[in-house]
Amino acid sequence: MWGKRTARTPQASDQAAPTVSLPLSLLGKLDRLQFILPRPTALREGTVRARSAPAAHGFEVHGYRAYSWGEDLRHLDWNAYARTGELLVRVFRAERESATYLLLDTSSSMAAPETANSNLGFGRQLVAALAYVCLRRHEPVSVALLGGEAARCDRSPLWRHRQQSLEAARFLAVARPSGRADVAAAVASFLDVALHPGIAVLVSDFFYPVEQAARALGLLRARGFAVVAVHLLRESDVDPTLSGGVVTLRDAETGEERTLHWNARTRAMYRQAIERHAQALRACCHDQGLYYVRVDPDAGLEAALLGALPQAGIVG
Amino acid sequence: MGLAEPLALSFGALAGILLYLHWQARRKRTYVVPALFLWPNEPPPPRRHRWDWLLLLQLVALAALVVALAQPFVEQAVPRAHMHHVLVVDRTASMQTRLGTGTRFQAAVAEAQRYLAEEVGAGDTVALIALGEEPEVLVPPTADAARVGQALRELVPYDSAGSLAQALALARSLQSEIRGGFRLAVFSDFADAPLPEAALADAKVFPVGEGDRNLAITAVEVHQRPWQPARDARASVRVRNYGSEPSHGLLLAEVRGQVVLRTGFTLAPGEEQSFLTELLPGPGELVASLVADDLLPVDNVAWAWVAETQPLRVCFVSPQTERWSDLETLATATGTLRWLPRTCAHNQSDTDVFVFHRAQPPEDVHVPALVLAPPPDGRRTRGRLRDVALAGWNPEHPVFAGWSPAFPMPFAQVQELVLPPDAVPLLWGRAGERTVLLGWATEREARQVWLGVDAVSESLLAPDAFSLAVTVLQSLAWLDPREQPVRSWSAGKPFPVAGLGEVEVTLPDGARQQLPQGGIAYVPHWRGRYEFHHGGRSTILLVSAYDAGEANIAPQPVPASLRAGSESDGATAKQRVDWARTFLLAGLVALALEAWLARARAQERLV
Repeated sequence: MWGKRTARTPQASDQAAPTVSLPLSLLGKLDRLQFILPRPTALREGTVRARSAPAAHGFEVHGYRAYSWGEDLRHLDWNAYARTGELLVRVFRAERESATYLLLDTSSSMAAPETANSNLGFGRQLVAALAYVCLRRHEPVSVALLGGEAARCDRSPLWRHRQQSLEAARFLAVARPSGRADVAAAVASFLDVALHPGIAVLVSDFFYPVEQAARALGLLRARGFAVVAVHLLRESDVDPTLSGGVVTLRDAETGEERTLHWNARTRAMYRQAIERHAQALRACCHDQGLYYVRVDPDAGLEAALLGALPQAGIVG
Repeated sequence: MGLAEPLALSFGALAGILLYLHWQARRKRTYVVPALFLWPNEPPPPRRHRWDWLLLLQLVALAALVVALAQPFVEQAVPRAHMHHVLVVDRTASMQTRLGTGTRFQAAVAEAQRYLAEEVGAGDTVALIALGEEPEVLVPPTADAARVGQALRELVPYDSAGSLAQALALARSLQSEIRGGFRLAVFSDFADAPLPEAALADAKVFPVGEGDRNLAITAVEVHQRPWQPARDARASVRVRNYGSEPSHGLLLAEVRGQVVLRTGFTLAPGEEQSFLTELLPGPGELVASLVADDLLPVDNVAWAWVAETQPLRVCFVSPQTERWSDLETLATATGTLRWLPRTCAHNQSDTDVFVFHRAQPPEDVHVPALVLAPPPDGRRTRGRLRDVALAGWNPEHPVFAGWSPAFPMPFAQVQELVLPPDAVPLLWGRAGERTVLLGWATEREARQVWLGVDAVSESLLAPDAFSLAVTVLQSLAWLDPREQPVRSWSAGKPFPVAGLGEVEVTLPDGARQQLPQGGIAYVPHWRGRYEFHHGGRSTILLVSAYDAGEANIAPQPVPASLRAGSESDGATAKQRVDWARTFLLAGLVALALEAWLARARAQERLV
């Protein structure tokens, strides 16, 4: 894929396996990006800076506090005592590992309508690009595919090295649209495993009720994740081009059909409904202190990575 | 209602494509959407059957354009002015060609009768012209169609040839004499001449006949020299195959019931063969007949006459007798030439022909005479000349008919003659720069031939004097006043009867016909034996059908543009009204309306 940028030499098996490709011109721009949103407090020690409670040992001095009776005398800063005559204890801020979790909705609605650049395809590229942004800086990242029957969640291992960008791309390449969108259950399945809090980026079309989205985002928020909701919404989804007259609409996930008389009135009703849905989703995110980014896949990957996400303060 | 181009209706199949496209457009369209919960639940109104005006207009436009392509027309019966019909019916020999169970002539007459019944209306005039060796107006323009029908029923075919162009010219002459509508109808097999398409430009043509299988006797010739006995004569029969395929046949020739020739033959297309017989039993009627499976029987029989010869009694009057032995020898060679004793000049009743050599014939000689080298008298001769070269002879005179003399040149001694007013020149020569008359012939009272050549000095028996001897013998033959009572003739060829007085003709079918006084010629229309009785004498014509044009019975192809159709009846004329433009206009209007309606609907659907 982007082996030119990685130290790992692509193997023959790499070329044969399906992968998600990114334009080389974009990779150079991605090299300058990183996640800039505040990370939650991390528990696990690592090389990635993250907020953590002050500790008595560490590498970066956080400050001084007065010695309390019973503390280990080894923590006393005798030099400070010599200068000030007070018993002071030096506290440190430890470097903690804060992982980034990229969650991609792979329900059937992501592939509707079946076009060359579907939401799922765009989402795969977007997630792969974000994974590259993380791995480029050796920040741990994991990809989870939400969807499929029984609210399945396919989660990748935690990658830490930039040489593993290709594995992330391969992991994404096998994502296939299937099943109904029950993102809350999928997120719950994602959270079944004990995870250290980090950044959770949920990429979805959010074509399900806002309540369900709020529940899924709330689950992530409750586990201490810094949540980013990336809403894939095309202009053609907002204002679809249908032939006038009687049309039949088929739900991509359920197969349910509805006969509709498509005219100016029903068109206006639909536009109002989808705009309300997007605003409700935004309001839900903001109410919970989450990040909400609306991305138009038709505008292109570069516009999303270098435009929408930086403007929202996600990357920079 | 009719269609000029009915095949264009096949474009109507495009309607199927239109209907298919319409069905595709009307089919309920299904869209796959990510989720339904955002879409309004607005069920369409109850579906009711509605006409799709666009489809209707498209179908109407297509139908109109297709019909316009087919060029529809309507024939309207409109009363028309009275017409003048001229019917030309071919009655030449080729019309006797077998056609089915009848003949071409019967088919043509039936067509003409049908034309009379169906095409000639009340008030129309009809004329009937029969095409024979001479076109004949059988019925002048008349409103009595029954009379024309009767004439058609009585019409019989000839065994002779005819000219279609002349018949058409005669019909056109009738056209110039009448006013109003004119219609020329021609009933013929068009077999004997190139089609005169210009003359048939506006005519209704009814061609009849098919097939070209025909064997014909093209000639029967009896080779019999003057005064040659019949037993020594020979006869030849020429047969030709006019068909396009090889034909077989059997040729028979009989004289007085005795078969003189019997042979089978096979002739390639266009081949002609002559069959010779030398077994003539004597004078009499020679009948040649073909036994062949061909279509035209008229030319399968032909006649000729083997003449009965009698000695020619010649009285030779000459002051010199040196060459008498030559004349005796010449007479012996001919076999039938008899020189009379020298005293014959006093008895004209026993003499058939006088020969005056170097002697002036008496003025009161009323028997044929041959005058050789007459002595100069200043009135009928001009003088004696020497070394005169032959300048020419009259090939149209019977004396020189069929042969070209080769006289010794120059003549050693000749007598220049003076041409009488009622004589025709026979021979003339050139003396220096001057042309001199050396012989003439006349038929004023009795036939006379004058030759300035001296038969004595030129020696008739010399090898190089052979032409002179033949000229003398030919002159004697022409001078013979006796005419053969039987003559071979061709159908359609005029037989001169001028000067015969009152003539009664017995036709081949036994009917008798009195010829009008002062008639010039009689044209035998049919083959067979004709007997002319006049002044107590009889002349028999053995008429055969010899005509290459008629024997070639292959019909000429008639262009479809000339063939007659059933376009009108007698009382009304059918006027063809073209509706193609109307349908074209209707189609264009429907297309324009459809385009306007489609645009309006598109604007209405723009959401």
